[in-house]
Amino acid sequence: MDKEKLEAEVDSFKHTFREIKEEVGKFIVGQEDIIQNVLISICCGGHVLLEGVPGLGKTALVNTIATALELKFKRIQFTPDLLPSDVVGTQILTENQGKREFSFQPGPVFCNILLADEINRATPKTQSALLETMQEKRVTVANTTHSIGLPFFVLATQNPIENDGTYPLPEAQLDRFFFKLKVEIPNHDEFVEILHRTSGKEQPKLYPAATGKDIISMGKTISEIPIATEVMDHLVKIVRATHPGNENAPTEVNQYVRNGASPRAAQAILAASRASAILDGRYHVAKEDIDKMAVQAIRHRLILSFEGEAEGVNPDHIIESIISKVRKS
Amino acid sequence: MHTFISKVRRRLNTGIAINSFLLALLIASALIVSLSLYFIIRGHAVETWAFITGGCIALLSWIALWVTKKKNTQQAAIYSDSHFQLKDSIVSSLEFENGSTEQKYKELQYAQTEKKIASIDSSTIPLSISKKLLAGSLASALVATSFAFVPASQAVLDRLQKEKETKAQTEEIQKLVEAEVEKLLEDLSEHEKALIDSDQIRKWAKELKPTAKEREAMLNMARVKQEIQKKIAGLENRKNEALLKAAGLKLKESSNSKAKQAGEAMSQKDFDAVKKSLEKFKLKNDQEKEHAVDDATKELMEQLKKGEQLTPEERKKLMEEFKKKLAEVRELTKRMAAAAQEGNQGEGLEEGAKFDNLPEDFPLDRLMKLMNKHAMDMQEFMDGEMLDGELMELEELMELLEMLEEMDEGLEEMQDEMDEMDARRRLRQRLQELRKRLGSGMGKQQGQKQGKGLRLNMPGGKKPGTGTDNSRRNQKDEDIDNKNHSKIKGQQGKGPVQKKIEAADSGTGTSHLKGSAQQRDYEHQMSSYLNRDDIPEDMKQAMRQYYKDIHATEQAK
Repeated sequence: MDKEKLEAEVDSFKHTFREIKEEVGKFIVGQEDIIQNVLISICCGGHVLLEGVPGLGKTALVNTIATALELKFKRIQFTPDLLPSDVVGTQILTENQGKREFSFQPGPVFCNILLADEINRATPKTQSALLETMQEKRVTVANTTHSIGLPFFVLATQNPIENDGTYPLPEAQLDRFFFKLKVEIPNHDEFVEILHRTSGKEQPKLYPAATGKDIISMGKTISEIPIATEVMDHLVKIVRATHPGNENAPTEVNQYVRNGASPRAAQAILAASRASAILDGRYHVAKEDIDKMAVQAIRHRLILSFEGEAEGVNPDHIIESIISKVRKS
Repeated sequence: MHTFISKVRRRLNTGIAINSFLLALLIASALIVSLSLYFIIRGHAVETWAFITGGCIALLSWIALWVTKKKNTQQAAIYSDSHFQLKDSIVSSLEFENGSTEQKYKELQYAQTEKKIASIDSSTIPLSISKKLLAGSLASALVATSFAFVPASQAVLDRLQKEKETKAQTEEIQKLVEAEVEKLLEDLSEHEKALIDSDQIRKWAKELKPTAKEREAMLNMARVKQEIQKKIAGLENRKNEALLKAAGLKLKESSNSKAKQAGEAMSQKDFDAVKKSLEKFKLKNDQEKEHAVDDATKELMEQLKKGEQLTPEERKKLMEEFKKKLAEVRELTKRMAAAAQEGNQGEGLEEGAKFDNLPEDFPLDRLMKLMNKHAMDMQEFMDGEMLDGELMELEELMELLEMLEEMDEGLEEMQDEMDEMDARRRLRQRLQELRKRLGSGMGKQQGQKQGKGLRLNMPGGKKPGTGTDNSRRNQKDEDIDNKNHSKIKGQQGKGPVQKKIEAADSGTGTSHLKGSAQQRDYEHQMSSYLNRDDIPEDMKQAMRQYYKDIHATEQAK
């Protein structure tokens, strides 16, 4: 392919990404890393699990992103009485020209961006209905399969402090999320800015910075960024080192981890690293990109042992020690 | 980019080379220091091979370390990316360049990398020379080098010099002994040659192998002297000589002049003179003067042997001559047999004993007894035949003649025995001379300076050429104490008598310092004894202590 064309593609990616980010930044104060990672996730076609205490603007963030991308946005508030049909849709009896027939009423999943709020409050049955949709990007109701249009992203949230009456997501389903991002409490200045922005008479106006097609195109651009064997080895070593007994696994892994990350984690890291490389202005993936993306891609895939849970070990620290050890080897 | 990587690689490998060199230098220096200490503690100077070995090890270590540690292109690329924070740009470019699958962004990435490295100076890469290693290796190299200037201790130098001298001395001694042995073998008479194995004597010289070790040299010498002594002991002929002397003394009492003469020669153990004197007792001899018989008698004996008839006068003359001869012989043999009988050392004669069946160790005794018996038989025969006063018949005369001729055989046997005794004595003398010269300095006889020669000196003492084997000390310079305080000194009046009464011509040579020569010989024998391996150590120690105590007692007196 022509060099100029390629350069133009990359430049277009960077430009579009920057614009989306800026647009989102008009409404959302701070959380730049969260916005960046969410956008990377979206570009890579992955779903994100946002974890944070209530009131940090998780819903606002997703809403803003959806607006900036001119994508159809739906929100589901997960509660314990939510049924699968409330998520995916159901058959209803309708009358059409005097004839009664069942017709499919699509659920909220039929959108481009779905915000699954407090996903851990719904029953496992309802969770699995959503998660099947996330994986397959289609819904089957009454033996009839209905495709969900692309792009389709799920941004789920969960509250880390309320555990009563919740149904933690099983490991197999957690694995379907591209990233798990922790939304932190804003600092003082951000707090002040938030108050300024949200207590004013006028809210900032948001305009679409990109479309769904742009997102799909950006995803294609990302997938073509090359990676050297040396860097690929680094990635594989990190993922394999999350398993106890591995030669590169640090002591903490052997002590606190029951199960490590799957190849899906490596796929997520690779895709995200490619995006990171382009954003850094490079045409190749570097080890720094891998290290940067590893934490958010692995943290929800690391299954702690009883000892790890009892001691309240933070998976992020384990991942950082893995990265450090692999770097030295 | 490849140029850049090459530069980086060169830079890295230069640092590795320097560090490897320093490490190799440290290793080699440590080795040299260890070897040097081994020499220095023992008092030696450090030998050149230690430094050469260290140098070779340094070189080999350096090469080995450099080869194993040096960076290749890939490693240089990884280092460059890390050091210049290029985020794996070079590594990726290298791989994409060689990749078989087409990478869409390959060219862009390559160009980007080239742009990045265009402004980078590879010489900014530090050589990473470890300061500790540098200091350590330089310090140890300095220490190792300084050991090259440490000389050997004086004691070691002296020892080495001593060893050199000992080696040279023993070589010289061997040559001298070989020459002496050849000269001895050349001068041997036929009788002497029969008594000795020339190969064995030559072997003695070979046993004095050149050696740098004094103890070994002394042991060799002591061994050879023992061998010589053994041989001398084997040549001893005391019994026969004592008997000869005793017979001589008996014969000297005789009124017969010939017997007296023979007795004189025998008592002096002048074997040659004895031979000559015995010749006179023979019936037949080749000497012109002092013939056993005159010509007329000779003629008659010839006629008798031929079986010719003799006139009564002729028979009478023959009888008288035979009687005279018998009387002479009888006088000789009677006195010799008396001496043999008095000595009572030999065995008695068996029936039918002959002259040709003499025992090896004490032939003279038997010979004398045999001769006497034969003479007695002759006398008895003659007395029997002349009992009635008549003349003896021809057959009787013939028988008597045969008996007299048989007596001649005995006399010849005795003459041969004198030759053998003479040969033994001469050989003993030669061997004793050789043995003495081994101990007391062959060098003097070879015209060398005093003090040099076969005697191996203990360390210390006077330097070669300045010492003396003379007990008179006129030199003013001091002797160096060689710590050899074990003196061999006998108790006055208690030891063996050192004086020996010998005839001048039977001694080992004239010496105006007989006593001191004997003392030195005694000392040397004792020293050889103490150095023998077959003597138990406690015995040697006891002997040393004994003489020390004696010396202490004498000092107290």
